[in-house]
Amino acid sequence: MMQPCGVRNTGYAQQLSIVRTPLQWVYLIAALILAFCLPLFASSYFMTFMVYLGITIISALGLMLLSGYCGQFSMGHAAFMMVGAFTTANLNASGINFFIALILGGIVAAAVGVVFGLPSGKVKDFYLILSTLAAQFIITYVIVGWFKGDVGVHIPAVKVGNWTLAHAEGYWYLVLVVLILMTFFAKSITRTKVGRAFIAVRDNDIAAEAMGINTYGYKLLAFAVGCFYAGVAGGLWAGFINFATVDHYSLFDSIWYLAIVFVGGVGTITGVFFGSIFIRGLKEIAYVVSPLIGNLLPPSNPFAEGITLSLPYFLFGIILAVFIIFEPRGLAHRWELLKASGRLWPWGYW
Amino acid sequence: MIAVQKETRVKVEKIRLSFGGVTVLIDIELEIKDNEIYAIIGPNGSGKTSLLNCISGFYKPQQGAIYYKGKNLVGMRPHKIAGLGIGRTFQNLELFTGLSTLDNLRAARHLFIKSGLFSGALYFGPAHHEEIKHMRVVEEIIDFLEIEPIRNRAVGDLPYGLRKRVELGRALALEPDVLLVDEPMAGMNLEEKEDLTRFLLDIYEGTEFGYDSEFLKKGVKSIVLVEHDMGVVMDIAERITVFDFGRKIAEGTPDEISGDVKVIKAYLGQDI
Amino acid sequence: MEAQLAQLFTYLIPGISKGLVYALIALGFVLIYKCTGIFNLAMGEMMILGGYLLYFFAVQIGLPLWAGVILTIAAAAVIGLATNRLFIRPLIGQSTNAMVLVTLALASIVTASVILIWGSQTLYVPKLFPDGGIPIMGSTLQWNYLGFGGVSLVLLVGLLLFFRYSRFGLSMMAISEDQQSAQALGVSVKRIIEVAWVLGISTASIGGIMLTSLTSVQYGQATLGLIGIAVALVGGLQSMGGVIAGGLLVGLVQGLSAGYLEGFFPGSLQEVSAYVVMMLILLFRPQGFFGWERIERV
Repeated sequence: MMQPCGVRNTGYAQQLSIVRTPLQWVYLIAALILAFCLPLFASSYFMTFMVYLGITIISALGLMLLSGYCGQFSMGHAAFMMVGAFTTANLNASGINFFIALILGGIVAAAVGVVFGLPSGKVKDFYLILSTLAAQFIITYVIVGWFKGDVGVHIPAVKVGNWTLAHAEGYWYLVLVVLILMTFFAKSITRTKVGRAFIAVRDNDIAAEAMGINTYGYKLLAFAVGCFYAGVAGGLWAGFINFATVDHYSLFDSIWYLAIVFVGGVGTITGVFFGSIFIRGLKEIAYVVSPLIGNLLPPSNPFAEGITLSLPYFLFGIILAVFIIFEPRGLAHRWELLKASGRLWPWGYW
Repeated sequence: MIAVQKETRVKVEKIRLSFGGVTVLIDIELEIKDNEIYAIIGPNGSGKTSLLNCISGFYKPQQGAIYYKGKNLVGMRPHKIAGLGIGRTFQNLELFTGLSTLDNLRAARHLFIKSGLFSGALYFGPAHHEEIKHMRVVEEIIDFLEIEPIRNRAVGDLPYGLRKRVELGRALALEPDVLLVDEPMAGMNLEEKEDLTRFLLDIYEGTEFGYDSEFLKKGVKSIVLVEHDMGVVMDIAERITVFDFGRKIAEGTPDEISGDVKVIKAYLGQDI
Repeated sequence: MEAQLAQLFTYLIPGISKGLVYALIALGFVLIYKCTGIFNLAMGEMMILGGYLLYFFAVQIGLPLWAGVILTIAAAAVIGLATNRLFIRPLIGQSTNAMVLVTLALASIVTASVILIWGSQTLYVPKLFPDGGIPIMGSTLQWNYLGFGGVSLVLLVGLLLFFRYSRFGLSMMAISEDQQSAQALGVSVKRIIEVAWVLGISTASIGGIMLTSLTSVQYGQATLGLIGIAVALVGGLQSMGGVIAGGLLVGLVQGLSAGYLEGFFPGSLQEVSAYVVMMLILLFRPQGFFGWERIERV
């Protein structure tokens, strides 16, 4: 990774750090201040979008650890979010404090994730994807059947002390705090032994075994960690809309998350942010724009009805295909190239 | 000449390995002792790499046992065997191609880092200190193998010769008691071979130059070398075993082997 | 006793015949995988495309049914050609995961096109077989199920024989083993990939014609294609003959569970049972019944 000109590492600690130059600290702190002040001047609609974005990023962080870093592609991520949502909802409904229920939701999701990760000992790549696919359907079935998935479970508004986080503005702070913590954890994991083990398992599991890495154990651990993030994200979502239903956790949603990981850049944490913002933003644009296009056409036009419904699918398919064919290393890679060319223009020694 | 009795490190007993109808190893018995470079030679397909794979745990022989530190390695998972102290390089170079040289070597320090998921996630504290400590060890290995210029380059971009050295460094980072080296000279020109041989000998003998790491100073005292280049083998090996079609056909010092009729027939290919 | 046997039949027959239709889809999947190394997760979408095309030819244009079926298969082949050029060719040589993702993208685009052109409501195609059936054991063996099961079986056996004994089939098998050696022997890899892909899409569309005429045409049914993939797994992803065994097993489990276990388990068991079978296979015998185990050379 290229450093800005003139920056040298003067010690191992500095070599390992995330934020390397004073200017980067400035950017980071400014971004944090902006994030905390957002509700002061942003509209309610925008805050709702930001809450969803934050939750998406949390979930995508988990999938990035599981699929991007450890290489175990999961097509059932949304289902694990569902587990978290329903666990949190059910526990909260029976009187347990929301935050404890949230963490428990994450843990239960992690456990379920490990169960569907069990085949990873014997099978690889596509076969494992099939296992997660089965997870998506089996979990949905179980939740609909035994946990009132089709009707939904109601959660009362989340309270912190005396404040009720009923609106997007208030809930945003909860999401933001959780997001910051979990991003830090994820980044730290990738810098240390566990993260390296994940990458080793992904890149070459034979060599990883020869290095003393228990590949099966780490694959299961990746499932546990990734699904924990999913569960927490699901619980947060349920807390926000005060309802846990199966609606937002379909197979298509799982595939959206995979796309976020891939488009963002497999194996990077910044990629999670890029991918989530890009894809969520696109989805939002699609939902806003498609009725407008639909209204432009006369109602007799056979395409009028289809446009609204089909636009998200079109966008998804085309974007994903374009990225796979032309930029398989994702937005994070593009960003690094952009930064590098920025530093090198017009002369390298500036 | 007083024969020094050396301790046996690895004892391979009557190993038989087949894949379906093909028998790859037949009744292999040998001992790898302390303080020696032990070479295994033989024509292609004679089972040399398969034996190494059996020792490392990637293949499971149908019969026989391999004893190391009092345990039978047959049936153990490879990562446990690595944990016991058997390091290895691969004939076809199994590096982590997406990672840099530094990260490849750091991956091998896995067994020595005690902090796990939770202290890793919190980072500041024990994980941070361990990262720095092991970074230091890895930098020493990089210095030892003279690969500083490529520390940060992704291994996939490196030329073949340098990749071999990274692979060697990675095996070293495991601090092995027994190092299995599989055809290190394959594809090297003369100068590269000489370099690599020098490094192998340095690894074997240890180095007094101011390194902090104990294992670099002591050296790896048992090296198993699978190799085709006769010059290298005759020069540095103390004992040689010859394989042919899955069987051991001769064992002895380089002089004994180069004079052995069976070996000449099977391997060197001519009647003298 | 008679009544129980009759009940057994009413559960078994639809299950098995649907299982054979899934086997057709599975065959397309295994074919594509064996010849190109691609795991095509868009089989379901290609399947319902067959249904929509049939609707287009037989209902919207109003052609006689047999013409509609033939034109549907032809149109599916053309679509196969186009998708191959656009999505698959550029990716030759890339990782498995990238390939899988691109088929997901393709699935999405097909779904989008289908919704755009035909809307989201449920459509109906004319029945391929007359109503009624053969009375057996007190219940009726419907022509529908007999017909679909029979046609699928004939197609399956025909295709399998083609691959075993024809020259073209053999060269396709050759490249599935080793692309480079096959190229050295004069086999054009790109062309084989194209043919395999087109054949796979066409068989999917045939399966779609049958399944949609049994029920209805609606884009949500594309998930049934995934059951075809489950069938392929059960039979063994390398085994083209195994799809028949896989189809029979999954069809059996689906039929029996829908019949006997409905009372004990809530909701619709049919789909889930196929996935449970898939999980069990992955846990205990990942190579399927007729696939072979891969030993990795180190």
